[in-house]
Amino acid sequence: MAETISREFRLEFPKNLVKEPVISNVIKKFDLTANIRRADVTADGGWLILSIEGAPEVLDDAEKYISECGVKISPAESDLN
Amino acid sequence: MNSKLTAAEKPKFAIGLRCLNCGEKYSFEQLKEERGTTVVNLCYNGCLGPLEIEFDYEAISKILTPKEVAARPETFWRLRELQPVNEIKIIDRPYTPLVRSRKIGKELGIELFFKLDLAEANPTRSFKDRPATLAFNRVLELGHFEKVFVASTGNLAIATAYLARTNELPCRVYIPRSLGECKKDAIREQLGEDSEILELDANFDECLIRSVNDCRKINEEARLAGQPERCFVPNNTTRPFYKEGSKTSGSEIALQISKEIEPNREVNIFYPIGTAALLCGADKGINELKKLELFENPHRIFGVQPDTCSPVVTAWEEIKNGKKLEDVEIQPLKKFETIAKSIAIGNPGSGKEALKVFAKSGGGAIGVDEEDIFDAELELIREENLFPQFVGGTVLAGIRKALATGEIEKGAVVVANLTGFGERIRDDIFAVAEKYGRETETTK
Repeated sequence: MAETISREFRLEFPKNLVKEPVISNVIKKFDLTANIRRADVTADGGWLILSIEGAPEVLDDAEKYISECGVKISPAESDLN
Repeated sequence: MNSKLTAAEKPKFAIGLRCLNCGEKYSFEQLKEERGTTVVNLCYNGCLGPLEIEFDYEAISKILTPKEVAARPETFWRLRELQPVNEIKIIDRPYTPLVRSRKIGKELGIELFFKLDLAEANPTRSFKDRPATLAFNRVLELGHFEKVFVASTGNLAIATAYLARTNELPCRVYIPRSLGECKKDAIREQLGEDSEILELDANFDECLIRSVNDCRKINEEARLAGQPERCFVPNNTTRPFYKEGSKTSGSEIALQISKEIEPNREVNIFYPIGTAALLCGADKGINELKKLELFENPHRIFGVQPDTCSPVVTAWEEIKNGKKLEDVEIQPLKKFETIAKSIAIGNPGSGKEALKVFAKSGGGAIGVDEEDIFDAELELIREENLFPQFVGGTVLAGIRKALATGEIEKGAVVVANLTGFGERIRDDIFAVAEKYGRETETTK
């Protein structure tokens, strides 16, 4: 089994995707371990900070999938501006 | 991976890191054991919030006595025990000047001083030399970093390119293609031969994400191969170290102004708000001096934002209207535009922390009109022979407004921080002058 690593992300959900099970789908689809650390989500949208564990190339695919769902995904560190 | 700390990995007077969000603490030994590195920027066991370095002030107070500090030259590393370093790798330099206003102070009826971070004492003539110095000192001490990545719309890119070149590290600068030519030229001037600028059809946020992602990928490969990290992003991956550099702005002002005024007089210090990290760091630097009994004047910190990009001012207004500090959140802006481009930041990373600084110090956040920024900029050029970026005009406009609203009074001691040299926005000044139909003679 390929060695796994952990990556930390910030996800921003637009209003139209708040009710969609994006996180659940990505975990199932790519067989990942995910851990939500902080979140602020309302009916109008929101953000969450999570860590995902998996093989690097699988994490690349998962990141792409989340982005294609319409959720803005960036490294959790990217708001340390 | 060897989990034993090397001498360089444990800064001499630092205890460890603490999460600014949830308070979780990490020792350097723990970081090495759990992450294989002491260069960690997020609270990985807790909320993934930003980490800050904690110091052993008791040990520091035994060295940094008033007598010892007075005997040391006024240079960047004067208070090195208050920085997360073991060995000084970046060459020392003088304090940036604190000068009395020649005309504007008298006209406003205040004792006005300018802190000139735009001066040549800063190698690239902006305050970004301060935090970038700490990030570079850290990676040079550790010795295993091979490349630096940075996304910036100006001053940080210039400071990073300079430090990379003078310390023989290749550097890659990510910039939006739309960046002004003067800024691009200033970055190019500082780039070493093995460095590059990557111009992207993207905004600043996207450039930042790209730089962090590129750095992360290389470091992940290294980690999987059992090697230490190879790359860093000064204001991001080495953030806890970078951040401490801003303290020197506050401590320099405190030690300089205390020679100019009586010890009981209040000092009102005005900073621009971009990410708000500078004013938060400066306040920390001043409070450290108070803790060590090296400075006793009361101080207030004010932050100024253009009205057209003022998420911190908006949040501060909520507090002024009675909302509790802990209930107020900075609402990020998606669309914003201002002539003070280097503080055009819609989601200031240290915004919430800045609100605490204002509340604790009795200062505040002030929003200013775009044309007032431009007028103040011209005033600094004409009346004081100073040439800051528009951010300097923003600060002066903020001081005028604070006087008009009674937030500061006539006779007050006021420090205006001029954080970056105007030459690199010369093209912007002409463009704005034309937009407002103003004479450009004095800007030539």
